[in-house]
Amino acid sequence: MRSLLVATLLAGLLSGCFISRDRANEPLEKSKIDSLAIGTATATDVANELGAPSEVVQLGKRSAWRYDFTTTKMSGFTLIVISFLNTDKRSDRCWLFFDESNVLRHVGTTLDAEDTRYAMPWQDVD
Amino acid sequence: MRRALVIFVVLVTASCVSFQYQREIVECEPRAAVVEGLLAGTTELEDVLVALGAPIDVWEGANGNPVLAYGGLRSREWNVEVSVPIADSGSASLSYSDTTAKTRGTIFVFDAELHLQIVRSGLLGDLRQTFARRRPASIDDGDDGAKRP
Repeated sequence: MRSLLVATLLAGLLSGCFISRDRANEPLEKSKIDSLAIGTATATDVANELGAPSEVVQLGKRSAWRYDFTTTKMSGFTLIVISFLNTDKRSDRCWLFFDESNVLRHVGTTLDAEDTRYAMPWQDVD
Repeated sequence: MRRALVIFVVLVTASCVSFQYQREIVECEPRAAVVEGLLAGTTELEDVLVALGAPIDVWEGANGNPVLAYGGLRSREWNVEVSVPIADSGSASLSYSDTTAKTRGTIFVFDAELHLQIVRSGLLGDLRQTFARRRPASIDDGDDGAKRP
């Protein structure tokens, strides 16, 4: 009788567990970013190598292009009327800064998408 | 008998009242020690990119100069959702969210020579309102499609 109760309880609890993953855009390839020569590569070269950017920001006569790849991992469970959810969203980002002649002058890259974790809300995630 | 009643009430309310505890993590705030090492007047845009990587946002500041924003979100919140049937084929929902979290971070404001001029920390939404370039509003067309004088 007790084992049946435990099995029923476990089945009820586990049926409310879930995980999900969402990805936006394609992962950034560091080798492609590194192949862009600062001071000589043009906006056309960048577009040919990396494709269309996610965003273009006009900065006076200069401009900046953003490329990104975002991963979101969600995990949680539901106990009858209460749900516990954890969402972790991180991205690979690359900003490329062009001068008024559309020549690449600066590049900033952060690759954090791999650090996205499934976790419960009370677990430490760095 | 009382226990059965409690279970019954829980099962009934499950269909119309639910609670949610959620933690949300979005990106990471820059480390304070690194930010403190980036001083206005002596730091250039390249130095900030090398020290902190790609910003989460870039916008046009005063006079068209760049502003780089770094930040992240760490929020914990309780949500209560109430759903009440009002017709045979539908229901009305009311959701109350005790959200205290907003994205915090640091912005770096540069001059025309891309030298760092200002460093500010706080809520990025507020900082953007303060340090984004204000462009003149365009004149809307009238209802009849004619341009206003």
